[in-house]
Amino acid sequence: MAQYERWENCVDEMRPIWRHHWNELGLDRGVIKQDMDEERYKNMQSSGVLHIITVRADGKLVGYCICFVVPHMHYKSAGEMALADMYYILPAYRVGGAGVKMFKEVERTLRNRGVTRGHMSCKVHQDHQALFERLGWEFTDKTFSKLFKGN
Amino acid sequence: MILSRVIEIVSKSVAEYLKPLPESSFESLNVDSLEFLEIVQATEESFGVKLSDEMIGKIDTVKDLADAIEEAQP
Repeated sequence: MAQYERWENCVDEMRPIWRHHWNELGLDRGVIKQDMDEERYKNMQSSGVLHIITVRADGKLVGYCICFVVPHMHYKSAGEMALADMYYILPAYRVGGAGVKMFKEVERTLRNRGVTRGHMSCKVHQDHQALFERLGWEFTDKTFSKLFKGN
Repeated sequence: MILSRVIEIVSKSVAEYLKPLPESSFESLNVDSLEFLEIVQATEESFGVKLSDEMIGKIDTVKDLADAIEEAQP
């Protein structure tokens, strides 16, 4: 089941999952350690920027999608835009349409909030393009990253 | 009638040795997100209806899908 939750309601249960998330998808793990800035997330929740959809199985948290909802610097008058911060579902729970239900709830709640456009991304080594396109998202950008420190 | 057609659609999308029953959950049928979405969309097309995101969010079993189709029919 996917639903909107506030940071303070789910952070304790998200913490152990972040490690799995990082191990599976994190880049440069030997150089940059995972170090979640919980205080900033908490402040973002207070200021209305954070938008979290959680996935629960029999009440247990098994996944999440975190978005930042902000006015776009280039399109100030266009309304708020949602930018995906991260999403993850524990491997054992990636069945039965859990991801579909999560992303549909993300979209439904963002639309209800009045968000103009959403931006999602996925790792090249875990490509969700087919799923996003099937859900009606457009493939619009390619991103590139380069490590400048520690190598 | 709806249920049997839904079972037929689901059967085409899951492994041959799995026999979907009304009470079969999509989890037990080992259906991933993309397959789940394909099943839902194939069912919508077959019945000429569109399920709301809220309805799709509540579908856990084959029967849930059939019930949602029935509810969405005019």
